[in-house]
Amino acid sequence: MQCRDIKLQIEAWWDRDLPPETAARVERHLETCPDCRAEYGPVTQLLRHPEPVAVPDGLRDRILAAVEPLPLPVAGKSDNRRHPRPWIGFLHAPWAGALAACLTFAFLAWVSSMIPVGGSHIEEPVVTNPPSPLVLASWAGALTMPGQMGALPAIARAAVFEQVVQERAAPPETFVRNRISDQDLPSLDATPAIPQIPILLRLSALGA
Amino acid sequence: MSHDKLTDGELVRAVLGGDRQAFGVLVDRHLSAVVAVVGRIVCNRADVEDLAQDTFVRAFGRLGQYGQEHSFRNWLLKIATNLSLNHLQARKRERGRYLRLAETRGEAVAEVDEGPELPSPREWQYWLSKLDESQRAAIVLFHFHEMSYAEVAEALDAPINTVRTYLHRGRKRLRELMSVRPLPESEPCSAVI
Ligand SMILES: [Zn+2]
Repeated sequence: MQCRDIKLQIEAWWDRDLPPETAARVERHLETCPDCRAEYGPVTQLLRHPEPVAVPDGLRDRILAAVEPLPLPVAGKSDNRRHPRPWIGFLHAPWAGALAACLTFAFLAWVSSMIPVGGSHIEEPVVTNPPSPLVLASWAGALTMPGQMGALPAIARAAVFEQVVQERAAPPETFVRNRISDQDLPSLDATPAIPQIPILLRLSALGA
Repeated sequence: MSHDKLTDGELVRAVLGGDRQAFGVLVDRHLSAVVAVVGRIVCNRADVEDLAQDTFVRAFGRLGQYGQEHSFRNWLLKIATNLSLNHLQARKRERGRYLRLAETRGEAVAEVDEGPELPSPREWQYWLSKLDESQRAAIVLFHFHEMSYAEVAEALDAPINTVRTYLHRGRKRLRELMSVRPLPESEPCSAVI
Protein backbone atom coordinates (compact mmCIF):
# COMPACT_ATOMS: atom_id res chain seq x y z
CA MET A 1 0.00 0.00 0.00
CA GLN A 2 1.32 3.42 -1.02
CA CYS A 3 1.06 6.75 0.73
CA ARG A 4 -1.47 7.95 -1.84
CA ASP A 5 -3.65 4.92 -1.05
CA ILE A 6 -3.62 5.93 2.58
CA LYS A 7 -4.74 9.40 1.64
CA LEU A 8 -7.68 7.84 -0.19
CA GLN A 9 -8.53 5.28 2.45
CA ILE A 10 -7.89 7.04 5.71
CA GLU A 11 -11.38 8.51 6.09
CA ALA A 12 -13.00 5.16 5.36
CA TRP A 13 -10.63 3.56 7.83
CA TRP A 14 -11.55 6.05 10.54
CA ASP A 15 -15.20 5.46 9.61
CA ARG A 16 -14.70 1.70 10.18
CA ASP A 17 -15.97 1.17 6.65
CA LEU A 18 -13.02 -0.85 5.31
CA PRO A 19 -13.00 -4.64 5.05
CA PRO A 20 -10.69 -6.17 7.68
CA GLU A 21 -7.81 -6.99 5.28
CA THR A 22 -7.71 -3.45 3.90
CA ALA A 23 -7.95 -1.99 7.37
CA ALA A 24 -5.01 -4.15 8.45
CA ARG A 25 -2.95 -2.91 5.49
CA VAL A 26 -3.71 0.72 6.35
CA GLU A 27 -2.70 0.07 9.92
CA ARG A 28 0.55 -1.60 8.86
CA HIS A 29 1.42 1.28 6.58
CA LEU A 30 0.80 3.83 9.31
CA GLU A 31 3.12 1.91 11.61
CA THR A 32 5.95 1.79 9.11
CA CYS A 33 5.70 5.04 7.13
CA PRO A 34 7.06 8.10 8.99
CA ASP A 35 5.39 10.55 6.58
CA CYS A 36 1.92 9.11 7.01
CA ARG A 37 2.47 8.71 10.73
CA ALA A 38 3.32 12.38 10.99
CA GLU A 39 0.28 13.26 8.91
CA TYR A 40 -2.38 11.02 10.42
CA GLY A 41 -0.80 9.70 13.60
CA PRO A 42 -1.86 12.34 16.11
CA VAL A 43 -5.54 12.25 15.14
CA THR A 44 -5.54 8.48 14.96
CA GLN A 45 -3.96 8.33 18.38
CA LEU A 46 -6.57 10.73 19.74
CA LEU A 47 -9.48 8.83 18.21
CA ARG A 48 -8.31 5.37 19.15
CA HIS A 49 -6.89 5.92 22.57
CA PRO A 50 -8.84 8.59 24.39
CA GLU A 51 -7.63 9.11 27.88
CA PRO A 52 -10.10 7.85 30.43
CA VAL A 53 -12.24 10.30 32.33
CA ALA A 54 -12.07 9.65 36.05
CA VAL A 55 -15.33 9.15 37.90
CA PRO A 56 -15.45 11.69 40.73
CA ASP A 57 -15.25 10.20 44.20
CA GLY A 58 -18.57 9.52 45.83
CA LEU A 59 -20.57 10.34 42.71
CA ARG A 60 -22.33 6.98 42.73
CA ASP A 61 -23.64 7.54 46.23
CA ARG A 62 -24.72 11.07 45.45
CA ILE A 63 -26.66 9.84 42.44
CA LEU A 64 -28.44 7.19 44.46
CA ALA A 65 -29.20 9.72 47.19
CA ALA A 66 -30.69 12.06 44.58
CA VAL A 67 -32.84 9.28 43.14
CA GLU A 68 -34.00 7.98 46.51
CA PRO A 69 -36.79 10.49 47.18
CA LEU A 70 -38.17 10.27 43.64
CA PRO A 71 -41.37 8.33 43.05
CA LEU A 72 -40.96 5.01 41.29
CA PRO A 73 -41.20 5.34 37.54
CA VAL A 74 -44.27 3.82 35.96
CA ALA A 75 -43.91 1.31 33.14
CA GLY A 76 -44.95 2.57 29.73
CA LYS A 77 -45.73 6.05 30.97
CA SER A 78 -45.03 8.47 28.19
CA ASP A 79 -43.78 11.94 28.78
CA ASN A 80 -45.81 14.45 26.84
CA ARG A 81 -43.43 17.25 27.49
CA ARG A 82 -40.68 15.56 25.58
CA HIS A 83 -42.75 13.99 22.88
CA PRO A 84 -45.09 16.49 21.32
CA ARG A 85 -48.66 15.34 21.09
CA PRO A 86 -49.33 13.67 17.78
CA TRP A 87 -51.82 16.30 16.70
CA ILE A 88 -49.10 18.93 16.88
CA GLY A 89 -47.50 17.09 13.99
CA PHE A 90 -50.19 18.30 11.62
CA LEU A 91 -48.70 21.79 11.87
CA HIS A 92 -45.81 20.55 9.81
CA ALA A 93 -47.87 18.62 7.27
CA PRO A 94 -47.85 20.12 3.78
CA TRP A 95 -51.65 20.40 3.76
CA ALA A 96 -51.81 22.19 7.11
CA GLY A 97 -51.86 25.62 5.51
CA ALA A 98 -54.71 24.73 3.20
CA LEU A 99 -56.71 23.19 6.02
CA ALA A 100 -56.20 26.21 8.27
CA ALA A 101 -57.22 28.54 5.46
CA CYS A 102 -60.39 26.49 4.77
CA LEU A 103 -61.36 26.43 8.43
CA THR A 104 -60.79 30.15 8.75
CA PHE A 105 -62.76 30.85 5.60
CA ALA A 106 -65.66 28.71 6.81
CA PHE A 107 -65.65 30.43 10.16
CA LEU A 108 -65.54 33.87 8.56
CA ALA A 109 -68.45 32.90 6.33
CA TRP A 110 -70.41 31.77 9.38
CA VAL A 111 -69.65 34.97 11.27
CA SER A 112 -70.64 37.13 8.36
CA SER A 113 -73.88 35.14 7.91
CA MET A 114 -74.81 36.28 11.42
CA ILE A 115 -74.72 39.88 10.33
CA PRO A 116 -78.04 40.98 8.79
CA VAL A 117 -77.66 42.62 5.41
CA GLY A 118 -79.68 45.51 3.93
CA GLY A 119 -81.18 46.91 7.15
CA SER A 120 -80.77 50.56 7.92
CA HIS A 121 -79.14 49.71 11.19
CA ILE A 122 -76.99 46.67 11.65
CA GLU A 123 -77.50 44.70 14.81
CA GLU A 124 -74.70 43.34 16.84
CA PRO A 125 -73.78 39.89 15.58
CA VAL A 126 -74.96 37.01 17.73
CA VAL A 127 -71.48 35.74 18.38
CA THR A 128 -70.25 37.16 21.63
CA ASN A 129 -67.01 38.99 21.32
CA PRO A 130 -66.20 37.83 17.81
CA PRO A 131 -62.62 38.10 16.66
CA SER A 132 -62.13 40.45 13.76
CA PRO A 133 -61.43 38.94 10.35
CA LEU A 134 -58.00 40.49 10.56
CA VAL A 135 -57.27 38.60 13.78
CA LEU A 136 -58.54 35.36 12.26
CA ALA A 137 -56.46 35.85 9.16
CA SER A 138 -53.50 36.41 11.44
CA TRP A 139 -54.12 33.17 13.25
CA ALA A 140 -54.41 31.37 9.96
CA GLY A 141 -51.11 32.89 8.92
CA ALA A 142 -49.55 31.84 12.19
CA LEU A 143 -50.79 28.30 11.72
CA THR A 144 -49.57 27.97 8.20
CA MET A 145 -46.12 29.24 9.01
CA PRO A 146 -45.33 28.18 12.53
CA GLY A 147 -41.60 28.40 12.08
CA GLN A 148 -41.25 31.71 10.34
CA MET A 149 -41.41 34.63 12.67
CA GLY A 150 -40.80 37.14 9.93
CA ALA A 151 -43.77 35.99 7.92
CA LEU A 152 -46.29 36.17 10.72
CA PRO A 153 -48.84 38.89 10.36
CA ALA A 154 -48.53 41.66 12.86
CA ILE A 155 -51.15 40.60 15.35
CA ALA A 156 -50.01 37.03 15.64
CA ARG A 157 -46.50 38.34 15.91
CA ALA A 158 -47.53 40.53 18.79
CA ALA A 159 -48.99 37.56 20.62
CA VAL A 160 -45.88 35.53 20.02
CA PHE A 161 -43.73 38.44 21.08
CA GLU A 162 -45.64 38.70 24.33
CA GLN A 163 -44.93 35.04 24.96
CA VAL A 164 -41.27 35.39 24.14
CA VAL A 165 -40.96 38.45 26.35
CA GLN A 166 -42.43 36.51 29.23
CA GLU A 167 -39.90 33.77 28.70
CA ARG A 168 -36.96 36.12 28.30
CA ALA A 169 -38.01 38.06 31.39
CA ALA A 170 -37.08 35.11 33.52
CA PRO A 171 -34.22 35.98 35.88
CA PRO A 172 -30.71 34.92 34.87
CA GLU A 173 -30.75 32.24 37.54
CA THR A 174 -33.04 30.17 35.35
CA PHE A 175 -30.18 29.66 32.96
CA VAL A 176 -28.05 28.25 35.68
CA ARG A 177 -29.01 24.66 35.59
CA ASN A 178 -31.04 23.59 38.54
CA ARG A 179 -30.27 20.30 40.07
CA ILE A 180 -32.51 18.02 38.19
CA SER A 181 -36.02 18.86 37.76
CA ASP A 182 -37.19 16.25 35.41
CA GLN A 183 -39.97 18.62 34.48
CA ASP A 184 -38.14 21.30 32.62
CA LEU A 185 -35.00 20.18 31.04
CA PRO A 186 -34.81 21.72 27.63
CA SER A 187 -34.95 19.48 24.65
CA LEU A 188 -32.05 19.03 22.30
CA ASP A 189 -33.67 21.47 19.95
CA ALA A 190 -31.55 24.48 20.64
CA THR A 191 -33.49 26.87 18.44
CA PRO A 192 -36.09 28.61 20.49
CA ALA A 193 -39.34 27.45 18.96
CA ILE A 194 -42.15 29.86 18.39
CA PRO A 195 -44.72 28.76 20.91
CA GLN A 196 -47.31 26.91 18.93
CA ILE A 197 -49.52 25.52 21.62
CA PRO A 198 -50.57 28.87 23.03
CA ILE A 199 -51.57 29.94 19.54
CA LEU A 200 -53.70 26.86 19.12
CA LEU A 201 -55.22 27.25 22.54
CA ARG A 202 -56.10 30.81 21.80
CA LEU A 203 -57.59 29.83 18.48
CA SER A 204 -59.70 27.16 20.12
CA ALA A 205 -60.71 29.63 22.81
CA LEU A 206 -62.01 31.80 20.01
CA GLY A 207 -64.29 28.99 18.99
CA ALA A 208 -62.69 27.88 15.74
CA MET B 1 -31.41 -14.08 42.10
CA SER B 2 -28.35 -11.89 42.24
CA HIS B 3 -28.68 -8.55 40.51
CA ASP B 4 -25.32 -9.04 38.86
CA LYS B 5 -26.61 -11.83 36.67
CA LEU B 6 -29.52 -9.79 35.33
CA THR B 7 -29.39 -8.02 31.98
CA ASP B 8 -29.95 -4.28 31.84
CA GLY B 9 -33.46 -4.86 30.54
CA GLU B 10 -34.26 -7.16 33.45
CA LEU B 11 -32.86 -4.63 35.91
CA VAL B 12 -35.05 -1.94 34.40
CA ARG B 13 -38.11 -4.15 34.83
CA ALA B 14 -37.04 -4.88 38.41
CA VAL B 15 -36.87 -1.13 39.17
CA LEU B 16 -40.30 -0.63 37.62
CA GLY B 17 -41.51 -3.44 39.83
CA GLY B 18 -40.36 -1.57 42.92
CA ASP B 19 -36.80 -2.84 43.36
CA ARG B 20 -34.82 0.38 43.79
CA GLN B 21 -31.59 -1.44 44.44
CA ALA B 22 -31.62 -2.67 40.88
CA PHE B 23 -31.10 0.93 39.80
CA GLY B 24 -27.88 1.01 41.82
CA VAL B 25 -26.60 -1.87 39.70
CA LEU B 26 -27.42 0.05 36.52
CA VAL B 27 -25.52 3.05 37.91
CA ASP B 28 -22.54 0.83 38.70
CA ARG B 29 -22.52 -0.59 35.20
CA HIS B 30 -22.80 2.63 33.26
CA LEU B 31 -21.49 5.45 35.44
CA SER B 32 -18.03 5.51 33.89
CA ALA B 33 -19.43 5.65 30.33
CA VAL B 34 -21.78 8.48 31.27
CA VAL B 35 -19.00 10.42 32.99
CA ALA B 36 -16.76 9.90 29.97
CA VAL B 37 -19.36 11.11 27.45
CA VAL B 38 -20.27 14.14 29.51
CA GLY B 39 -16.65 14.96 30.28
CA ARG B 40 -15.60 14.69 26.66
CA ILE B 41 -18.44 16.80 25.32
CA VAL B 42 -18.62 19.48 27.98
CA CYS B 43 -14.89 20.06 28.27
CA ASN B 44 -15.21 21.93 31.55
CA ARG B 45 -14.64 19.36 34.24
CA ALA B 46 -16.37 21.32 36.93
CA ASP B 47 -19.75 20.53 35.36
CA VAL B 48 -19.18 16.87 34.72
CA GLU B 49 -20.38 15.68 38.07
CA ASP B 50 -23.66 17.58 37.98
CA LEU B 51 -24.41 16.52 34.44
CA ALA B 52 -23.64 12.87 35.12
CA GLN B 53 -25.89 12.97 38.15
CA ASP B 54 -28.64 14.70 36.19
CA THR B 55 -28.37 12.02 33.53
CA PHE B 56 -29.14 9.25 35.99
CA VAL B 57 -31.84 11.17 37.81
CA ARG B 58 -33.52 11.92 34.54
CA ALA B 59 -33.13 8.35 33.36
CA PHE B 60 -34.75 7.13 36.57
CA GLY B 61 -37.76 9.36 36.03
CA ARG B 62 -38.14 8.07 32.50
CA LEU B 63 -37.34 4.46 33.03
CA GLY B 64 -40.93 3.58 32.16
CA GLN B 65 -40.35 4.91 28.67
CA TYR B 66 -37.19 2.97 27.99
CA GLY B 67 -37.93 0.89 24.93
CA GLN B 68 -36.00 -2.34 25.04
CA GLU B 69 -35.22 -2.10 21.33
CA HIS B 70 -32.22 0.11 22.14
CA SER B 71 -29.38 -0.86 24.38
CA PHE B 72 -29.81 0.68 27.82
CA ARG B 73 -26.30 2.09 27.63
CA ASN B 74 -27.02 3.93 24.40
CA TRP B 75 -30.33 5.18 25.77
CA LEU B 76 -28.46 6.54 28.79
CA LEU B 77 -25.71 8.06 26.65
CA LYS B 78 -28.32 9.79 24.53
CA ILE B 79 -29.67 11.48 27.66
CA ALA B 80 -26.12 12.38 28.71
CA THR B 81 -25.37 13.82 25.26
CA ASN B 82 -28.56 15.89 25.20
CA LEU B 83 -27.93 17.28 28.66
CA SER B 84 -24.33 18.13 27.77
CA LEU B 85 -25.21 19.90 24.53
CA ASN B 86 -28.04 21.79 26.22
CA HIS B 87 -25.66 22.78 28.96
CA LEU B 88 -23.19 24.22 26.44
CA GLN B 89 -25.99 26.13 24.73
CA ALA B 90 -27.15 27.56 28.04
CA ARG B 91 -23.64 28.67 28.88
CA LYS B 92 -23.32 30.38 25.53
CA ARG B 93 -26.61 32.21 26.08
CA GLU B 94 -25.57 33.19 29.57
CA ARG B 95 -22.25 34.47 28.31
CA GLY B 96 -24.00 36.43 25.52
CA ARG B 97 -26.37 38.05 28.01
CA TYR B 98 -23.50 38.95 30.26
CA LEU B 99 -21.57 40.55 27.41
CA ARG B 100 -24.61 42.53 26.21
CA LEU B 101 -25.33 43.71 29.72
CA ALA B 102 -21.73 44.79 30.26
CA GLU B 103 -21.78 46.58 26.90
CA THR B 104 -24.96 48.55 27.65
CA ARG B 105 -23.56 49.58 31.02
CA GLY B 106 -20.27 50.54 29.44
CA GLU B 107 -18.43 48.26 31.79
CA ALA B 108 -15.26 46.48 30.97
CA VAL B 109 -15.87 42.81 30.45
CA ALA B 110 -14.37 40.91 33.31
CA GLU B 111 -12.87 37.53 32.79
CA VAL B 112 -15.50 34.92 33.27
CA ASP B 113 -14.42 32.36 35.78
CA GLU B 114 -14.47 29.09 33.91
CA GLY B 115 -13.19 27.11 36.82
CA PRO B 116 -9.65 26.22 37.66
CA GLU B 117 -9.41 23.13 35.50
CA LEU B 118 -9.14 24.10 31.88
CA PRO B 119 -7.56 21.55 29.60
CA SER B 120 -4.06 22.32 28.44
CA PRO B 121 -2.87 21.71 24.87
CA ARG B 122 -1.04 18.68 26.15
CA GLU B 123 -4.35 17.00 26.77
CA TRP B 124 -6.74 15.41 24.30
CA GLN B 125 -9.57 17.44 25.81
CA TYR B 126 -7.96 20.58 24.52
CA TRP B 127 -8.26 19.42 20.92
CA LEU B 128 -11.79 18.21 21.30
CA SER B 129 -12.76 21.53 22.84
CA LYS B 130 -11.82 23.25 19.59
CA LEU B 131 -14.57 21.50 17.65
CA ASP B 132 -18.19 22.48 17.24
CA GLU B 133 -20.32 20.82 19.87
CA SER B 134 -22.10 18.61 17.36
CA GLN B 135 -18.86 17.48 15.75
CA ARG B 136 -17.41 16.79 19.15
CA ALA B 137 -20.45 14.83 20.30
CA ALA B 138 -20.41 12.74 17.11
CA ILE B 139 -16.70 11.99 17.46
CA VAL B 140 -17.05 11.11 21.13
CA LEU B 141 -19.93 8.73 20.55
CA PHE B 142 -18.62 7.14 17.34
CA HIS B 143 -14.93 6.84 18.16
CA PHE B 144 -14.71 6.76 21.93
CA HIS B 145 -17.87 4.84 22.66
CA GLU B 146 -17.94 2.77 19.50
CA MET B 147 -21.46 3.55 18.52
CA SER B 148 -22.49 2.87 14.94
CA TYR B 149 -23.58 5.67 12.61
CA ALA B 150 -27.18 4.71 13.24
CA GLU B 151 -26.69 4.80 17.00
CA VAL B 152 -24.99 8.20 16.88
CA ALA B 153 -27.77 9.48 14.65
CA GLU B 154 -30.32 8.23 17.15
CA ALA B 155 -28.43 9.82 20.06
CA LEU B 156 -28.11 13.18 18.30
CA ASP B 157 -31.55 13.10 16.67
CA ALA B 158 -29.85 13.75 13.36
CA PRO B 159 -29.86 12.01 9.98
CA ILE B 160 -27.04 9.54 9.36
CA ASN B 161 -25.58 11.68 6.59
CA THR B 162 -25.39 14.61 8.96
CA VAL B 163 -23.52 12.43 11.42
CA ARG B 164 -21.07 11.48 8.66
CA THR B 165 -20.54 15.14 7.91
CA TYR B 166 -19.96 15.94 11.59
CA LEU B 167 -17.36 13.18 11.77
CA HIS B 168 -15.53 14.14 8.60
CA ARG B 169 -15.46 17.85 9.39
CA GLY B 170 -14.48 17.20 12.98
CA ARG B 171 -11.56 14.99 12.01
CA LYS B 172 -10.47 17.42 9.32
CA ARG B 173 -10.42 20.20 11.89
CA LEU B 174 -8.50 18.02 14.32
CA ARG B 175 -5.91 17.29 11.65
CA GLU B 176 -5.50 20.98 10.90
CA LEU B 177 -5.20 21.84 14.57
CA MET B 178 -2.88 19.04 15.49
CA SER B 179 -0.53 19.61 12.56
CA VAL B 180 0.34 23.03 13.99
CA ARG B 181 3.76 22.91 15.59
CA PRO B 182 4.75 23.78 18.20
CA LEU B 183 1.71 23.16 20.35
CA PRO B 184 -0.10 26.40 21.12
CA GLU B 185 -0.04 27.86 24.58
CA SER B 186 -2.98 27.16 26.84
CA GLU B 187 -5.98 29.29 26.09
CA PRO B 188 -9.54 29.31 27.33
CA CYS B 189 -11.68 26.44 26.18
CA SER B 190 -13.66 27.85 23.28
CA ALA B 191 -16.42 25.36 23.76
CA VAL B 192 -17.63 26.83 27.00
CA ILE B 193 -17.27 30.50 26.23
ZN1 LIG C 1 2.98 6.62 3.82
